[in-house]
Amino acid sequence: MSITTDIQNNLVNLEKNTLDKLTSIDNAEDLSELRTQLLGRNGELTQILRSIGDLNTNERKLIGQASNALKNKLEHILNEKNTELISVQPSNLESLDVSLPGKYQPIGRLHPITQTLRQILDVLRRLGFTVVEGPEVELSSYNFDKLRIPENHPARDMWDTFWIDRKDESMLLRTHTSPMQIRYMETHEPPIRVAVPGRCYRYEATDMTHEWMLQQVELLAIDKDVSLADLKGTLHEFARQIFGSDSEVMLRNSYFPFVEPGVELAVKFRGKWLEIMGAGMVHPEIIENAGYNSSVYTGFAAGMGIERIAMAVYEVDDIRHFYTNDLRFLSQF
Amino acid sequence: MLVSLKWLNTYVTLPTNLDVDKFAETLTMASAEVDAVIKIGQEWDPSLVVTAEIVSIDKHPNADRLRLATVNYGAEDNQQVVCGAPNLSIGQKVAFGREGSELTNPQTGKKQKLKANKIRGITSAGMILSEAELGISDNHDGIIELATDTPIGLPLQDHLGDTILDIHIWPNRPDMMSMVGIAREISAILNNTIQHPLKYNLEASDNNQKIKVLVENENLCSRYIATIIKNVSVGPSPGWLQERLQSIGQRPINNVVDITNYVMFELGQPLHAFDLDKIDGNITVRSAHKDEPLQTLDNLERTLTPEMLVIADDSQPIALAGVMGGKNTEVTETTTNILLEAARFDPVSIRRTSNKLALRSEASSRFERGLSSHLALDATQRAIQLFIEITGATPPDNYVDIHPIPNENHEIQLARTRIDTLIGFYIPTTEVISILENLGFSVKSTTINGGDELFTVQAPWWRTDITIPDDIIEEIVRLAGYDRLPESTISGQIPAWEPNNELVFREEVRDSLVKLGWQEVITYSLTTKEVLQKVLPPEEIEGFDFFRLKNTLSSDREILRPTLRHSILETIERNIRLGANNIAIFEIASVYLSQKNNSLPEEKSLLTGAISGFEINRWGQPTSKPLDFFDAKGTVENLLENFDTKANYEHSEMFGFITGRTASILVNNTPIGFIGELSLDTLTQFGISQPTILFELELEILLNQLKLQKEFLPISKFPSVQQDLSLLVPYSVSVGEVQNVFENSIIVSSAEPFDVYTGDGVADDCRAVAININYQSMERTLSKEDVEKEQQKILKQLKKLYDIHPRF
Repeated sequence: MSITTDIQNNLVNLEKNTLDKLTSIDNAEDLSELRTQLLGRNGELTQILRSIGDLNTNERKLIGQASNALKNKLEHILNEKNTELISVQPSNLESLDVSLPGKYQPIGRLHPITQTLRQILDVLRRLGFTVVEGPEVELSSYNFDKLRIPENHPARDMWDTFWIDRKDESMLLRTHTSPMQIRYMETHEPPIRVAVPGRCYRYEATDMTHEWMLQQVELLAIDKDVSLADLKGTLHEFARQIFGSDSEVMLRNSYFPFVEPGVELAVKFRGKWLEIMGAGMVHPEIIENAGYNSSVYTGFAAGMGIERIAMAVYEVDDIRHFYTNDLRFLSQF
Repeated sequence: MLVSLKWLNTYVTLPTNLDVDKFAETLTMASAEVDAVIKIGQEWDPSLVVTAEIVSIDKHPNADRLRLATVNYGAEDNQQVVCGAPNLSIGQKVAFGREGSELTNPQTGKKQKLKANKIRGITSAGMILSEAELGISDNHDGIIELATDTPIGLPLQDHLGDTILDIHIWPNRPDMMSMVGIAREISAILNNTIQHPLKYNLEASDNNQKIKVLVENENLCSRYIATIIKNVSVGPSPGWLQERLQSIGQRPINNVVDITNYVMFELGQPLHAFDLDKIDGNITVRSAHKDEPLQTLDNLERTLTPEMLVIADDSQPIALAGVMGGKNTEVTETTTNILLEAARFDPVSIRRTSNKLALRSEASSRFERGLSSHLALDATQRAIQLFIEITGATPPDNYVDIHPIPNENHEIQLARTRIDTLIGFYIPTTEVISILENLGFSVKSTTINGGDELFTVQAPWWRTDITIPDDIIEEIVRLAGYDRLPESTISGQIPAWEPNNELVFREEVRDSLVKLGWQEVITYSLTTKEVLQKVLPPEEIEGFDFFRLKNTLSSDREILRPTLRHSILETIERNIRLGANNIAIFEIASVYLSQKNNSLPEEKSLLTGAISGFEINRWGQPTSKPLDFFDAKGTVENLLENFDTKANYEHSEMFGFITGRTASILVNNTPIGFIGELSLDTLTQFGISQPTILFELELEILLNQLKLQKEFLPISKFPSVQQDLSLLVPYSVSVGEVQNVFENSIIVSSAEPFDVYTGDGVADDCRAVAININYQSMERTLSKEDVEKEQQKILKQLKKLYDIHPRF
């Protein structure tokens, strides 16, 4: 007997044995084991296929075809059996307590301030504003003087300041995001529409509504014929998207040295008026200092505190929660 | 600033039945923010809470600290009250609460009905009241002493009842720091007239009086009026004056001082009265000499510097100009002649001086806002009127006035087109004019060539803040009402879009970590050197050019942080203390590093994250298996995979981390950060007692290594061939290096380890590493021979390079 006959016999036996075994298999695990015995890495049929390499071309063709045909056939039979086994469920499967928790998967969240900031920036982007950032450590010329808040002017009391102990004594932690108004104007030409998010710092004691570190977003829009009515319309649209489509806005007289007129914007939210930002028309001197013609270009600026808005939206009663980073607080958002 | 509506009503007629809250709102909308409305006396029952007089005081038979006061409250019978207040005296006018009065219990702060009860055996028919019991303030040190001329038996409500507005005055409005100034605003809002207080008209100035005034620093003192007022009789002020001062939180002192204070609150001009007979010679307004001493009225010895302006006589300084008077010329009970000063000092100089001495006064807060020099004469004349009325002073004939011609406001040309453009709303000319005139501006409207309307406007003398046309526009729009403004959107085109890749990248990184179950935190940017010493090596701390604060609020915030590591570890510690056990947190924030040229710091964007605790089981409960290096590394790999990047990890040493369990992370051979397990020593310093692994990535450097644009790679049409191999890899070779050898082959698409085994059958210096290799070609189906050949080539290479053999 030649090798080929041996192999052919083996294949026939293999088929017969397999079909015999199959009749007694009544569960998926046993079936899987049988599959491994036949077709696994060291399976019987696998080994036959492997041994083909030692045959001459004709034999190889003959045996190869036969064994591949058997392989396909067996796979088909095994698959059918498997389907049959799965579709006929044993009647004794235990019933699950479906109230038990699912397998634990950790959940992470963005900090509520990040979430609020993102919502705000998304709205502003839709309104055509580009997001830019500026330095947190600033020079007093940008934080104050160029914003028309000269040294020894009582308006400086509006911003209690952390000063940096450097040779350059004018270094400070920015008290607002407004310095970026100046920095941006220095390097750009109108039309301008930018939003500036970032950390700011105030030299003041903390309590339920005051933090020494806070996050602001500044808005600056400069173009021909920008008006106070544009400011009101833009900020109302902003308010609608953040506080809900039925929110109302109100402008009140206010004072910031770098705007004229200066206003405070309040939003009616859940029946209460919340002061959420200072705003106004960019002072013509600042427009001129940027090298633009103030009789052609006008603009508005606004600045808002993110914590205040987050406190209102989430009904957080104490601003100090935000930077304490108690996970029991953070996991609520 | 506190404003009494009762007092204010003497200058401007407020509507009867005024809705105070609505009024406060109106004022806030158009003028200045009303921070609080304090209603005094509304709840005092007119028949039960009344004015009374103490007619006799007797000892309490059973208590040393209590006394029995008999009060006359206008009824037929006097009443006896048990009272513990220290400031009782016969003839004193007091606030008397009869049985049944609703009063505030100073201990609880709650309202309570007064009952007649026995105190140490003696029945008390009512109570002599303190400010606290009346709900005016927290003061419960003694009873309220009413003015001596207070009539008896009147409802206290009529007498002390008032509404106080706490108004926030903007720094540019010195004119509003007075009752008359507020009255002017209100009259413009209500469109009615204002009743000015009575003034004594002095005939003329005469600079050749007995006292001469020399102003040395004319740039720091643009006007100085001095008036000699003789024969004042110093004593308590009349009741109405005391009550007005008290209503806005001021303590009456004596009639002379009270008049100067009163006029300051009424008109906004700080005044000072010197005891004329204590002045040696003439008055000089000059810079202080270096280290010149002056005892100010608050009894503090001040050492002056030449940048401070003083009022001096021939021998010494007698006042710190515009800030506080000197003790040496203080008006006392024996004073009979005074020198009244009304001046206009330079705002910057005043502010510098008061800042330097940390001495803020009602006077300095007005001067530093820049008063009009007009005001000095007004206030002088008003004060003289009161000195004559109240102190019986002899009317003076004249006064000294240095620089008597005050500055006038310039005319400002305001074009109609500017108003319309800036507001975006048309306000009719008649309304523009009436608003401005109501505010005291003078306005002329003309039509110029081309048809544009031009307003020629002059602001009233008290409005030192009006300098440009837009200032006038604010006046117009605030009184016209912001609620009338329409809403529009910017008509111009949207500016060209600018990418902000750093910001977008940071947000994507945040999202990636959150998806993996990590919680974002935001921590403070300031810390201390002591804290930094826990996470940075001493040599680095020593060499660091920190950005340190000049002024700190608390000792734990003095340095701008150059790392986030301590913040993350502090947050972990706090949360373990609060009950958390398995923690995975991260922060993305700037750190501050010094640069050359003493410039602003580099603000570098850093991501620092850490996990701490034990593996979590199927129930979400911590197991006893500690989290390890690979838990955190998995996150880093996953994060980088989001950005289609793989990193190499190489052993490195980091201060505070376990050597051998710390690796630097490299992308394209560029270090972008590190990952490591914290040493027990470091953890102990932070008070953490569970395994903690931290990673740090420099986001800008990482971003530079990334391909910004995702690129489509064709998917091979040909089948792949999987092969598993077990290799004996010596410890001296990293699995990563082995992987690299495989992946350098062009037909290997991946080589991923799936098991590392040590123990039986493996030599001590080796590990058995199982690797799954995926062979695939873009061009053809790989034959068995192709794969076999390539594998032999790679195995040969591994043997040659690292002495790695397959395991059979």
